[in-house]
Amino acid sequence: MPTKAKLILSVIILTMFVVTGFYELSRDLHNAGYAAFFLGFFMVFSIWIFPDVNREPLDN
Amino acid sequence: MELQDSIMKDRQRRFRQEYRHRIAGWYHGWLHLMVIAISGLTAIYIYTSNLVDTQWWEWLAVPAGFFAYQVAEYILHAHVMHRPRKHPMLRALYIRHTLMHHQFFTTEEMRFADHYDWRVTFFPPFTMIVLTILSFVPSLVAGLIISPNFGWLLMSALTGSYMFYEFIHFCCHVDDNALLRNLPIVNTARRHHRAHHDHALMMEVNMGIGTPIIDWALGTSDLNRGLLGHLFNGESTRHLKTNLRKTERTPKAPPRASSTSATAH
Repeated sequence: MPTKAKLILSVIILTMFVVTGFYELSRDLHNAGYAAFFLGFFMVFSIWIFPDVNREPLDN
Repeated sequence: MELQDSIMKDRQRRFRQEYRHRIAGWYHGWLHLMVIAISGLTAIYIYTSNLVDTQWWEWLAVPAGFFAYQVAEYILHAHVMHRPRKHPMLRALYIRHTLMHHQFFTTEEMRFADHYDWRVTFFPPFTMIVLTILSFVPSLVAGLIISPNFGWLLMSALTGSYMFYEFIHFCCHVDDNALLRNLPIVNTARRHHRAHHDHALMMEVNMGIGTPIIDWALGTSDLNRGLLGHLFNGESTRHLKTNLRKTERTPKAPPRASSTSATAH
């Protein structure tokens, strides 16, 4: 996946889940709030570390 | 590592060998599965934490979301993954699905050799992100117009439907066993999807993966029976249509697992 696309998705998903996290905390849903913060960072982390299929082809 | 007891042709064997070579060495199928499970279950936990005094009719969001997901999956599969489009991103989906996933798995050999091959079937993590973003707007609108509980349940249903799809598609490519042969829905999906991997049928037939509901509704199934018959057909081939058009519209030579990051599904 192109780096630009990863950057855009990262910003969107982080924004969504940080806002969701604060929303949950404001409703006294503490576990859901912390889970939202975790999920935002976890999703971003996962797309950056996930290996693409792009090594050199076999010469056969 | 490759399956030893396979009848696959040399072309498929070579493709599988090359595809595996191009996956980064540290890829681990179980980690991939954990990423999907942790993301999906955490998301559903967050969404359902917001439910308050749920009314019976608000639960209708679950079948509505499930059905909407089946329609979206069908459209994406039939009209993007099996039809080359001009837009580069859509075209990449076609290449990675029709020209890679369908070369890696054919009716002769549908099985993974080991967990490293799960890379060819599970969607990469960005899929859950895109699904979450796409689910957000309709769920928000439903939450505002119908009820907040309905919106949260719709969001949960869409995420759950994606996880259901991954589970079913995974089951379609694991080795045969008594449990899979007898598990309703799963055994139906395995036969349905195996038929779809026939290169002569794959461009037009059995486009639903999680369930055959939309194939039944639109007449693109290879079975000639009703909805319940479709859902619980199992491995039976008694009701196969006899007049299916067989086409070989996929390119003769698959590209080497080439160019872009191959995310085949």
